[in-house]
Amino acid sequence: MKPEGTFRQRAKEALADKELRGNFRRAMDSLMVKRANQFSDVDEWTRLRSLGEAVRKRTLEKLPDLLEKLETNCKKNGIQVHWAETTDEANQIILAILQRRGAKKVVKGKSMVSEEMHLNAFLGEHGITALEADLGEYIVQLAEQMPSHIIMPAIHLNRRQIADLFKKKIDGFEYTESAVEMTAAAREVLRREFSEADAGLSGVNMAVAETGTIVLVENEGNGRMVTTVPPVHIAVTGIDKIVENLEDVTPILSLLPRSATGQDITTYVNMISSPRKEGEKDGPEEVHLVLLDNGRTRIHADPETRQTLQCIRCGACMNHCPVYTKVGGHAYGGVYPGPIGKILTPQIEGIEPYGDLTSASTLCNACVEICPVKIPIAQMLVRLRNEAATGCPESSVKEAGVKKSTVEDMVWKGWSTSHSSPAAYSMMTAVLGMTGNMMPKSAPMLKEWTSVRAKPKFAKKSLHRMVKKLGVDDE
Amino acid sequence: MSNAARDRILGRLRQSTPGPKAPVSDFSIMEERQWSPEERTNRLVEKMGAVNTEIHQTTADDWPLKLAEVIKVKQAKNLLFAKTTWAGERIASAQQEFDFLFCDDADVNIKDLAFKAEASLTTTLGGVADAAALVLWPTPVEPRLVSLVPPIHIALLEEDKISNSFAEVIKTGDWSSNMPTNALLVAGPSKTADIEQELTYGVHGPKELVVLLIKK
Amino acid sequence: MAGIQLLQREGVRVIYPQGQSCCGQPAYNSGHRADALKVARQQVKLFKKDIPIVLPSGSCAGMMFKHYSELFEGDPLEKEATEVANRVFELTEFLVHVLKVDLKDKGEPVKVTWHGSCHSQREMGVREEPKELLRQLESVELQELKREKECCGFGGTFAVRQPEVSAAMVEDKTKDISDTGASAVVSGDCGCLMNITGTLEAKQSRVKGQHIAEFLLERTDEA
Repeated sequence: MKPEGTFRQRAKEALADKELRGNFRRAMDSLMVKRANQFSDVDEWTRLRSLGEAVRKRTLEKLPDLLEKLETNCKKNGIQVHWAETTDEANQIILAILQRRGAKKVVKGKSMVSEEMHLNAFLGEHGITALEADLGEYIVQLAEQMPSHIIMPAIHLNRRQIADLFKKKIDGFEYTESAVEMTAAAREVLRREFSEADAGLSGVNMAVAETGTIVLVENEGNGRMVTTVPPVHIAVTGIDKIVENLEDVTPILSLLPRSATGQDITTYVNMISSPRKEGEKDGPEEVHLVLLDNGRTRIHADPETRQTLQCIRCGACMNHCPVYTKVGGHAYGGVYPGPIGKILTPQIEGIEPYGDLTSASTLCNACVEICPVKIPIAQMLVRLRNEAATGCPESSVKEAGVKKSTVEDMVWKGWSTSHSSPAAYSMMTAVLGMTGNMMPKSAPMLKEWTSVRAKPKFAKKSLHRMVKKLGVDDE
Repeated sequence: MSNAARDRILGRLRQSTPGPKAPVSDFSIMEERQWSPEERTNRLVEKMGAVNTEIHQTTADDWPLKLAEVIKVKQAKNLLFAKTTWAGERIASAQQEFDFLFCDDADVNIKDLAFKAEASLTTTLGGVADAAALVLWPTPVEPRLVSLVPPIHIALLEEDKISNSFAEVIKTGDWSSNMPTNALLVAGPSKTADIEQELTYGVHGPKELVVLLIKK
Repeated sequence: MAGIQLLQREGVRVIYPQGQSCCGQPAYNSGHRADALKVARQQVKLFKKDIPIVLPSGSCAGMMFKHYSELFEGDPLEKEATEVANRVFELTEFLVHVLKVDLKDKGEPVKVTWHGSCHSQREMGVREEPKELLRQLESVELQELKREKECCGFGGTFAVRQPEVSAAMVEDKTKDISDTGASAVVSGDCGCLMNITGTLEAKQSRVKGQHIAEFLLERTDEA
């Protein structure tokens, strides 16, 4: 998939939308406070987070063995396991299951992987309707948009925009901006859909290898509905969302909701270990688990990039990102926005279409500070910038080196030469001191700089010369 | 397609460059917090109450009366429950002002019944104090939809079955060798904040969660 | 300059190697490691004496303290680079923890706010030290920012690669600064200051920006 335009162009558009900026600023400010309240005990935070990191690192270390174990235990429980290397393969697998069942209508719980697959559009092309049931996803689907946040998909819209949308799309909806009444309207529509759907589709928060269990966390109950009411349940997950055993579930169950929305626990933790058993009166007759690679084995190949896969998808990095807060999720042009998106999307989709995302950061480290599994996002951004700019042939990163620019290489070469030779450096500072202030505002780089700022002033005398004059020793 | 894909995925993962050894997983933080029974109850009541769960403290003798009262206040016309559990037997044996819908009748269409019910009652396996939630294992007698579909879910919680943490529950119950079709933690009524982050209860699951806390 | 004078006033003998230029961060952060290393090696060679290295900039300090070990991995100068990194101090950290300064304020009553740079906060762990120094000054009222931890949008080449986002960030930051009612914003990082004061100036704001070393020296100078 190629996004439209560059990050810079999309960001510019987003920034021009004052309403959008207000929506994000308000939401992110409040989410940051809620999270901070959860982790006020520094000792607890430090230890819990180290445990979260350890669990995720151990999982990735043993990943092939754990995937096999997961498959074995799922099969033992009656859950059918499917493997897909590409999103296209995953789509085909799901289509085949649905066609065999003669399914026409699918209700969906939140699943970012299914967004990665563009599953809804694919099923639509084959005459199958996929309806999003998470309220935020439902709103985004009605608006024919993409989620702008992985936890709060419709955070970019305000109540007036949603009320307008409901008025247009839901039969019999009486215009109201009350969140309670709008939620009630969606409940009514979706209740009918749950009961009539031929299949339910969900994501996976964790798949437990030791027990063959799919763990889903959610607040609304749509996840429970889609995994319980329809006769078929299909769960899709990246091959990274595995944990070794049930004990490993516990720290993540604590870190995830507290980091994401500042709540102690989600309303529901839904653990599914088998389809309906003999004698049981409800639950799906078939449960399928689709394991998707889509570039994750490549990310896994290198120990440094592998850390990307530690992610538990809490979205806290978005909430704390000063760039995301300004431009919102759509500017990132991919499925995963924000800091994690900046490192994940270019690695999944390639440096060519998404490499510019890595420049959308000041490396302020706000995301690194709050990541509950300690992903060194800033370090990874620098690595990806390096891959994009220089790229060696044996690199495991997709399309490494495609952003190599001769002009940029020359600039940095010049910079490193002048800055590694004292004589050249002193010459340069002297010249800049004399001429720097005469540079016009339209000079390259100065043009961007002075769009909102006054021109920087170059000192007439360099610091080196002033210090010398002051009589400070050289060694 | 599937098997070849599987082998290639696993094959590639096995060729990954090893990195530094993963740090040791120190789980001490998960079970460090231990409370007295009274503290556990208070914590659960406070935290579940904070997410809009209605909690009534009652006794083993009085809870059926409390139940009738709750249903009366909420004006539910019927109650979906299992007549063959220890709890169901107590209610089904007495005259009540609401209709009985039995989820454990033979050949029952549970889906129809659940969507028709105005309230439901289930037992629970217990509760956890740290994150504050109920532990539910639906059974053939008390199916999954009973605690999910009706707009009011009433749950019976015996005070002496409140554990410190979910980690403790997993261990003492030996869940690892014993996972049911579906196990749940339920912290409150269904909720969403997808519209401008305004907290709204009752989106897809029950709009109300009522806990009858049975004191010993 | 002010940093050096502050240290000298506290009785510290300061050495300023004239051969120094840059820690290498701009190239490193842009993904040009080889160029960064070339410049960084030159610096490492200059700071061989086993004495503290004080930097009046959290960002440069963070680069040396946090990233040199990784940048120099496998380099013949790796050991030297690690030693250099371990001797790095951010200026206010050095003033508070090593010199344990006790500042006497000589200036007029004034209200200021503090902007902590991302790298001094998150790479050097310097958060409270500069504010502690400002609070030592009797006539200085410190009004903290609402979003003290949020980046000002400078980010080196970020400001020219993503000028629109950078502008939006510094707009939020300068609004936060103006809202405090302070007459000056004090910071410990020249990059942030250039960004913030450039914006304040363009807005014709009455709020001035000043480096903390300069501010401290001015208010406590015996001259």
